[in-house]
Amino acid sequence: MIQSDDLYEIDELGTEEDFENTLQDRYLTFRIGGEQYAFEIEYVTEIIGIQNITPVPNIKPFIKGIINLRGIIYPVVCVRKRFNLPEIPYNDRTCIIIVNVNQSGIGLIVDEVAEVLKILPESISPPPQTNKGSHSKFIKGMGRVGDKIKIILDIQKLLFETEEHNYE
Amino acid sequence: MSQVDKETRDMIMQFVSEALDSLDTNEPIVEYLKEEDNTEHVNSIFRVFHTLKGLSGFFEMFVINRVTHEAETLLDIMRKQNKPQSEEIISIIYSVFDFLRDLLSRVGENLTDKDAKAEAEDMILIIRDAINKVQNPSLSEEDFFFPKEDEFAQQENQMIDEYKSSEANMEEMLAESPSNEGLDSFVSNELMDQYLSSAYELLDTAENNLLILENDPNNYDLISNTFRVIHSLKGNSGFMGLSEIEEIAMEMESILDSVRNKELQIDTTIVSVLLSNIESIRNRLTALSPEKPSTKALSETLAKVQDAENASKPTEIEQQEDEISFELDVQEEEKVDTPEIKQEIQPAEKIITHTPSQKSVEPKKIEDLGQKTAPPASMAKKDIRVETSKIDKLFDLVGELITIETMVTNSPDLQGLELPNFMKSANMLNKITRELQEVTMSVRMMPLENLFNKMKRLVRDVSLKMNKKVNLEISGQETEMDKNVIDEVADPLVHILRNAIDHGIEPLEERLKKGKPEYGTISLKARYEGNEILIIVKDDGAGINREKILKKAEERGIISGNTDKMTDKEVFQLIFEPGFSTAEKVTDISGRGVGMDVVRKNIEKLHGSVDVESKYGEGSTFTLRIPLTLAIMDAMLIRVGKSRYALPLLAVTESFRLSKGMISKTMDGLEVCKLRDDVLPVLRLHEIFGIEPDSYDLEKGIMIIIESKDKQVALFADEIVGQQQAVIKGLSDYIGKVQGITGCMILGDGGIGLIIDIESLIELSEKTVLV
Repeated sequence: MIQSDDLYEIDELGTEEDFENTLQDRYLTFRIGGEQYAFEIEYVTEIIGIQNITPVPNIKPFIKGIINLRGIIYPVVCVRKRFNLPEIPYNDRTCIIIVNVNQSGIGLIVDEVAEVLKILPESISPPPQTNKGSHSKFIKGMGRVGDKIKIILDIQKLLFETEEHNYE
Repeated sequence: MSQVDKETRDMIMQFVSEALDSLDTNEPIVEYLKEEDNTEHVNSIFRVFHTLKGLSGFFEMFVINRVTHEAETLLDIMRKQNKPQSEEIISIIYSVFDFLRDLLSRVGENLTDKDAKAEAEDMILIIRDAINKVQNPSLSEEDFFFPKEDEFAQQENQMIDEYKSSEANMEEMLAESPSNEGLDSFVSNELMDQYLSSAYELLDTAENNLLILENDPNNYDLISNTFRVIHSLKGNSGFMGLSEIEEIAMEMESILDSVRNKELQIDTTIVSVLLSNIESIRNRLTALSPEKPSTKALSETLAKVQDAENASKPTEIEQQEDEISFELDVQEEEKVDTPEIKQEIQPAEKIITHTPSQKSVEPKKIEDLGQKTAPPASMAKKDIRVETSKIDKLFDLVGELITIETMVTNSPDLQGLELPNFMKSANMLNKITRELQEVTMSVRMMPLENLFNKMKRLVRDVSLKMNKKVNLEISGQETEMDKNVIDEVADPLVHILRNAIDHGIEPLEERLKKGKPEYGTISLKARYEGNEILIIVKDDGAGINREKILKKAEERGIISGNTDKMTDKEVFQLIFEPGFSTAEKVTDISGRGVGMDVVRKNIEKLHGSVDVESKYGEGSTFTLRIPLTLAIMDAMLIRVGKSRYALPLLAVTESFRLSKGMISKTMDGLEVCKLRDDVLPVLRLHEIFGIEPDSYDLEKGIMIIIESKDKQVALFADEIVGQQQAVIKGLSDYIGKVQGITGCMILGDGGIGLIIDIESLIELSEKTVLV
């Protein structure tokens, strides 16, 4: 689980001379299954451990329900479910990343939060051009960090893209 | 006044907001100008312009001043004509209202109206044009009564100049007054001193004039001059919030006006009445700073004024106890009653100027006023304007307080403890928080009247534009609603009304062919029902064509397959789908398919719903159901498995444990429960929401009878957890609308309870049963 030290690190980024510049090219990476994913740090407002989630009936299956965080209600999205991966039991590494996208505060359940990385645009390759799996539409690019690949997600699409058959 | 200090700024802001209020309040009256015998209405509108003119002069907003001056002239002419006005003229008056509103809101931002000069010129030309139109057809019979237009204008201009110059002093005072502690929210001591000295001066002038007039009653220049002096005094007093003095000055002004218009002849009685008025104002002024003036004197003075007028017009004493009720300031909860006497003196009625903190009372009440009316200084204090953001903040805090209060008193740590003293204090705390909540809530409640008044105007404009004849019937405008909710309801209501006129009411030929009355009728009603407010818009127009909607919806891909089974209600709901519009031709009023989806969205944001009923050919009814308060309700908490739900307590009629034999099961598997003489469908919450209950056995759980509209069902849950005040929170926009759920609340233990929307839950269950 991410401890407060790690949170502090994120905070500290903001106190450097130019906030905008510091956030530039910074990504929060996290793990789901065996893969490392990332999205822009600017969306992240907070990272918390797994909470008691209140399920809400008849909503999109990848939204697990809502949580109460200091009196504010956040919906939480299971990223595994969103990727159509099998769900696993939550453990002490499971985290909820609270993001703010389109003025909505939303929690993302991930297996584990890794670190904050700088990935420069030149080390990001375009997403693979295959039609294999409709979930590749969530991919914004492939970030190369050392000899590892981080899959950079398009958080807008991840959260807001609706499938056509959803409207029934 | 580009550079202004805070006080001046505040004053201007207050001026703007009061002026806007006064425009809003009086706008509906414009409509009555087309009626016979409209004197009273003309006077009301006249007063609006007149007050605005005075105040804008004070603030050196000469653009507003000029426009209102022209408008006042127009109204003055109408006042003298006392005859129905044409649609054209009414439209012009409406456009003046709009123009002023726009101008005022700009003043609110820039604190000056200078940048609107060019537009104002246009407006003035339009008004002048209207003046000509009003005047010309009747010029020959009218010019006996009042000076010709240019003379008149000249006279008025002269008056305004003088007024301005007298106000210029005040303006300087404003600029000079550096600090603002004491007397009133914005009237500083210094300002008051300045006012006093100028008031004494004006009174002296008036007194001198009157004494001369007693011997030279036909000196009309002097009469006009005296009128102007008193007029200035009235304006200043009104601005200082000294409504008593203003009242007296107003009466004096009325008398002088009648004299000026040769309706009254100056004689000793009149002069002595006016002089005694001056004396009484003086007394009041002296009393102002050191002590509070006696209000008894006021009633005496006012009585004298009446006597004088009655005496001078012995044949037409007809003293109308006309009560004009002005909802002048909707933002305040409490209203101050100040005396106002309204009398009719034929042929011309008098001007009574309203300032936006007054409400009229009948003259006969004046005797009581000596005791009742508060002294002027405190009068202005009785209602205060507060930014809505502050009230919202207060409201949020009260919400938090209630949540925390429940968390504390229901804390799991207290389980099983015997704490009589704690419980006593907790009960008191609970009582106080509830009371606090009620009071906070009531602060934000206000009648729908203003909103409905705006709709009058809308209906008029739209029907004119569409060339349709429409009568709008309004009822229930006294229904009170949360201010924030009213704001949110405005847009949907506009859309629905536009639609009713555009698509609902048929063109004239069609109506006549169908044997319907020439005028279409739209009724706009509001009333309470349970913990909801219903706003109902009903028209007697063409109604909704089910087939047409289905066809359209199929074309748009909104629905597919067999539509025969859809109920009318379901079909009509389709019009709220985004991008849906059945209008064959797109008009600029409606028909672009935006609108109805906005209606539903906005209403759902308020946790409300929109119902449509319609009979093809006979008309449609739109019913907006909006919860009374957005934020807080009494809830019964129930548990099903691990989930906890809140039911609005108002919807719960009873609860009980089942005993054998109360349940029957139909061959479709529909369970019904017999309760006394009723047979109610059983609604298994776990089934509808797809959750795991403690027990599937109906006898092991509890049955809760809930009702919505006229339907009753027996809801099956594991247990009742308790009752709690629920501070309703949204489920987050991201999740959107969830059927059966209106929102959620934070429970005593920090967990979340989902708040059940009974109506949609019942609907949902009906669907589940069908499948």
